[in-house]
Amino acid sequence: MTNKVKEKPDREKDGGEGHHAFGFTYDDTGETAEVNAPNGWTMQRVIDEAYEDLGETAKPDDRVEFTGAQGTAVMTPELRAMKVKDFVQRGISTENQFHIVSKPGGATS
Amino acid sequence: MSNVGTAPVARALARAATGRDVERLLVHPDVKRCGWTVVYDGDVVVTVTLPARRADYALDRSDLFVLALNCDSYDSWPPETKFVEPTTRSYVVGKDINVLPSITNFPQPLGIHPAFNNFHERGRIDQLVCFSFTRGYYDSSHQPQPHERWVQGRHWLYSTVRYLYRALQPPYYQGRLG
Repeated sequence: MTNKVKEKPDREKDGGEGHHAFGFTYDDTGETAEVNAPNGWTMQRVIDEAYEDLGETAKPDDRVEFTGAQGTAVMTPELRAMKVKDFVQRGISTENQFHIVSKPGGATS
Repeated sequence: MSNVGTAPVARALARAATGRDVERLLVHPDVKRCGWTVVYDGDVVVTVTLPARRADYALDRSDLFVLALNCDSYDSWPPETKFVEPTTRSYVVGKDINVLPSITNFPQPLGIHPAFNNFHERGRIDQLVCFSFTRGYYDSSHQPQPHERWVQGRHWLYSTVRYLYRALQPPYYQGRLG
């Protein structure tokens, strides 16, 4: 297991001061990464960075999940389009920890 | 991999792979973050106690489920995976149904069968935790797509445990079966 941390230096260009750390785990492999994202990034860009840091390619069936107020929640297109600052300020994720989950084989219950 | 069930792995190799991946599992941050308790028998059996939470539980309340991972074909094949009775660490068909969780609306493949009877091994009736990161999946009538298969060196104990832990969280976990 490796833990990759990447910090993006050009914060002014990417949306002003301030950034937030998001932890990612790729559930197939257990590999972890941390993305330090400027406020101006979209959450989709944060997810894209996580895939890159993890050395994985997004698959059509992948889910990006986090713990929200009602339990497990998934990153919807609306949440992916949200800016980092808004996502954090609204307290959408309780821990800013995400899990990327690929679909295994089997029947859906 | 064939479509007629799993094949044995030399015990020394299975034990070495199991020991190696137990060490990896014990230092994974999810063990502490998610409250998993990992016990290794030093051979090929790993038990992991997982806390389960229903949507209406208080934050400090959980139900505990014990998962037995028999790695005697590991890691060419995934672990044989069963929910077991906590004291005996075994599962008796028809008797121990309350050691199984009730899961609904899980968004990805998962079947938990208390008494599955369509294994390749004729006459076998046993619990089947069914998705492609369990050995039982391959020992029954299932054929995954190539990209869904267990891949030696990529998937490991964590992959199996984490997937089931997800199912034991709200909004999917509904309580004990039976």
